[in-house]
Amino acid sequence: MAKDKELNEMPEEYREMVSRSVLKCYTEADRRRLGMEPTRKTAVFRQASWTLNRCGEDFKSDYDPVVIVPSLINRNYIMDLLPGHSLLEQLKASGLDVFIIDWGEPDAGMGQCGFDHYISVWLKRAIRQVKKITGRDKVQLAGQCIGGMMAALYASHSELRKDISSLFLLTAPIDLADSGLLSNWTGTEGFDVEKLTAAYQGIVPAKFFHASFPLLDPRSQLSKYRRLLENFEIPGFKEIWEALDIWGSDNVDFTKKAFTELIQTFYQDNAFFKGEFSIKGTKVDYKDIDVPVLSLVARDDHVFNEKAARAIQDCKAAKLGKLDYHVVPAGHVSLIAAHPVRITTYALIKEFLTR
Amino acid sequence: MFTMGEDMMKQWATNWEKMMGDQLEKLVTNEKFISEMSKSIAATMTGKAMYSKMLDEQMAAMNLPSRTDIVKIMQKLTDIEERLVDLAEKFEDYTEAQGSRPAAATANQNAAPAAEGKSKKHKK
Repeated sequence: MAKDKELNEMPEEYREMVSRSVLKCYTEADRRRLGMEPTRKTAVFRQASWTLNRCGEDFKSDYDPVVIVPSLINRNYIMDLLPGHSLLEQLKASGLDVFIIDWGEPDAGMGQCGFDHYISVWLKRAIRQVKKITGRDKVQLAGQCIGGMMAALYASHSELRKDISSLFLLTAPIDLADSGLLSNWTGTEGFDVEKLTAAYQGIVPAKFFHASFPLLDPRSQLSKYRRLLENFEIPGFKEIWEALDIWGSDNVDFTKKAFTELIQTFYQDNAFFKGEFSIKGTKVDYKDIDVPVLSLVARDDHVFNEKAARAIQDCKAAKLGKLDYHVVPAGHVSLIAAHPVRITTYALIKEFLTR
Repeated sequence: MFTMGEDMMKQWATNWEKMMGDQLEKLVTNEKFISEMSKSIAATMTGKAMYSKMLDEQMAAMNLPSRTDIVKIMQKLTDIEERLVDLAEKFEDYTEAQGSRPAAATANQNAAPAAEGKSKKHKK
């Protein structure tokens, strides 16, 4: 009887979930109901659209503080999705003082801010604030996805590198040539980013480039509602499914300069890999990174393939035996949330950051 | 758990999913398709940009600020904020440097005017 009742109720809840997902009509109440972003964050510095947050309540730590640079494309709460699926929660439990940048919603006035500005001015400023707050001389710099590439760029600059004691890269690309579908698309004849964004002033709206994201993994998109139905009764599945769907649909605009640079400079010219990208007027080379590095790569990543991250094996740190490189059998995001493999990921990260 | 009808539906859904997946995958990996799509979107966006420019001119003719003007002002505000934060940091560095100067040096500096005063008094 109880089971019959459950079966009758399930489709209704399922229908509601699918409807919210299709219409993308998620609200703050949905986030609260699911208990998303379980780690308390306190804003310690704000400028333009970005905020530097300090995580947790207990800030005592024996280790250098950790500064997390999230991707510019998505929101940073993928690091703190749900209780038990939160990298921040794990880092705090390991006794680390953790700071995370929230890039926020850029406005049209920030249109001229490209990667150089994000790294040499804003990221530098965030690290300066962390150093002042904690009284430490160095920080442990961490970055995810494009944020990982930004962290690697920071660590490649001879002056900026002095601020960091270690570098942790999570699914961070360096060599963007043949790095997956996105690199194929940007490499096709007629893909002219100047023309594509000609109508936008200052910012490139999220809806413009996010429309193409589901096409990176069409099979997964087609099967997502079926997978939800099939696993509906597995405890915790629908919560994590919905939390990921909320995160996936909560997209952020790009400053026009950063978007153009991402496509032209990093994808089409592969400038970081070739050592042709300049920060503060100095060309940077990832091969110069000599601080201890942890690079975690997702084997089934549909955004960047493993080859994109492999270049880090050519850096000085690798030659000095200071590189930990792991390919984890998971996807771009499931590396740190949703997938059981996240437990292994958390252990690797904890071991590295508490050395 | 599933009835015969539900099984058939499930089979149909699986087939549809596979067929659509195959087709979409072919499409998104087809260089010609991507190239044509890019060109088509670029042409649309170029048209949109031209329309925006025309609107800007109309706004200017009416002596009204256009979006371009507003974006320019916003950029100036961003620059001003940047310079203010930069100055605040420089001031912080300066005050910190002043505060961390060796105590003896600071004491000497503070003592100097007093000593000067004393010597003047002595002269008198």
